[in-house]
Amino acid sequence: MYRNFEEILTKAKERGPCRVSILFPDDPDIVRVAVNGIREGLIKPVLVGHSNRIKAIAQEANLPLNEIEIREEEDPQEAANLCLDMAKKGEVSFVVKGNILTTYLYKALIKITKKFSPDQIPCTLCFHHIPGLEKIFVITDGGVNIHPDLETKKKILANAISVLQRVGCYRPRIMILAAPRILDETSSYSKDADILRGLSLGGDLGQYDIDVAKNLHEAFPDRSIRTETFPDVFLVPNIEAGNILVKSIDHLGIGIRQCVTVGAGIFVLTPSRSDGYGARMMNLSLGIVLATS
Amino acid sequence: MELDFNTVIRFARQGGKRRVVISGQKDLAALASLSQAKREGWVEPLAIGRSFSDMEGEMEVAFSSVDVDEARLRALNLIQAGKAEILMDTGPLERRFFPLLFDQIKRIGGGQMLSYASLLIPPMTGQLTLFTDTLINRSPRLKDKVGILENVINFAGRLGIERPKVAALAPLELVNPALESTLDAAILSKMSERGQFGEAVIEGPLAMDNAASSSAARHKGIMSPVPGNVDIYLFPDLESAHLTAQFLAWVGRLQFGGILLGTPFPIAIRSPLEQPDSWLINLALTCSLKG
Repeated sequence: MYRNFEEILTKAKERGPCRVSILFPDDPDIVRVAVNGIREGLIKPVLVGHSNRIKAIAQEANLPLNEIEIREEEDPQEAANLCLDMAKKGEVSFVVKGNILTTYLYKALIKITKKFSPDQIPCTLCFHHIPGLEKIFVITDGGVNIHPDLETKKKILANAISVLQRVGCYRPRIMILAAPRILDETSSYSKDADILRGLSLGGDLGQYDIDVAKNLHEAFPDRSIRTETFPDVFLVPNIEAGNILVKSIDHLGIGIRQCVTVGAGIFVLTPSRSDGYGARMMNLSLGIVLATS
Repeated sequence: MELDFNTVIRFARQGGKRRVVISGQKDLAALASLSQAKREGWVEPLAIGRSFSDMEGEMEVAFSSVDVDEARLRALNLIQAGKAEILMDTGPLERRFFPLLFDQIKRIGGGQMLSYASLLIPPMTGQLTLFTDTLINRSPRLKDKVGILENVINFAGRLGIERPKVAALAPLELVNPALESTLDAAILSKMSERGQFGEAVIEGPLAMDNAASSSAARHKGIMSPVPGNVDIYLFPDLESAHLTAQFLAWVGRLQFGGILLGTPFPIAIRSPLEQPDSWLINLALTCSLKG
């Protein structure tokens, strides 16, 4: 696994530029990402949305759009579907979310995954780096699946494992998270984790290890975290835990979060509104590395 | 006023001497903290049971032949008889401690909800912040969340946070009928608007990004004094609360303090979220409930 995001940035510069579609770049920051992404040799963007609105925003922010293609589609859902169709047809390597509700992209991705890879389920993979750990790790799924049952959790894991193997983490170490038992009772999440650990995920997933421990307290009782034994993938029990946990890592200030949603082999980048320039370039780099591996 | 863990301990020192009765296993970190608090004059310890029989030189020990279960009962009796104000239990908590405590609460007719609050200082703000419920209630329903909120608001007041700003967390900031956590948060937010939580301001549903960052909230059209200014994060369930706290403590290496709330008398424990050297903080937090 990559040790940090700088390694991903370096790799992306070698592999770029990639053609990407940017959905509803209705925000000066996002148009700036498109323009600067070209300059940095990372992307060749196609902007999808209201062309007049995009042009007005670019003009106001003094950003030249001259060579950038714009595809007119005013309906947000149709525009999201168009972006994913472009990715499916190979016209673009991946899709970038602009200033629009993520739900449109989730819906479009769920639809296309059902059609082309009915055995898969899309999920959001959040890639994190926290100082003190010499590797990037993934937490899933804090985005798409609201109350995943066992079967869905299996598919989320399969999705995550195949993505990690693509980027060179051939034998990912997995932890299926559940809060510890403190009062004298067992939770359904803990039972799910036990069952999942015993299941074979099937298919051509190759090698992976599932940790016996269900949380960091069980895995590292003395709190000494070591990179070698730290999991590569954490599967969260529910969307509440996943979403709040991944956003706490960056918004409470202990590390980096970069989120990608994947289904049917298509990657959709979902950067945060609050991301600065460096974080957004990092996000594009992650997309490039995932889509070209 | 800048509130941090040292301030919490200073408050405890200023509060005068409290009689603390101790039950549980022999825990060296806990005993070291007790000795320090005794030396500094804010705790008068009385240890109960066999676990502490060799501590007699250090502090007062009673019933030095009884086992942990029996010691816990004796300690509870001493508190009920008014012989001590605060109970400290050094664990193990997993098995018999909580059932015993629940029985006890039922017996003396305490109608309050038991909950746990964790305290930490997120690097992003540098402000002392509370998370709840990180330990006790697995899947609290709306009614339980009202109790959890009342407990933590009352406790925040003890720390001098008079008008706490509370983020009722959910996976997103929109009310989604398919997600109970967003419905609960919206109702709590409305209850707060109607003054049902006194001076506290509860905003929800908020996702963690628009709770922690006022600009992220503004972008979503959320106009509220809470985002970017949160004193208390109310989590939708134990999985989200405990696992988030674990990552901050284990990987982010943040110091945690913790306190049991809604108990009929103050009880100091140390949950797995707190490092052994947090005993002094937990004891000081418990003292803030008294006097």
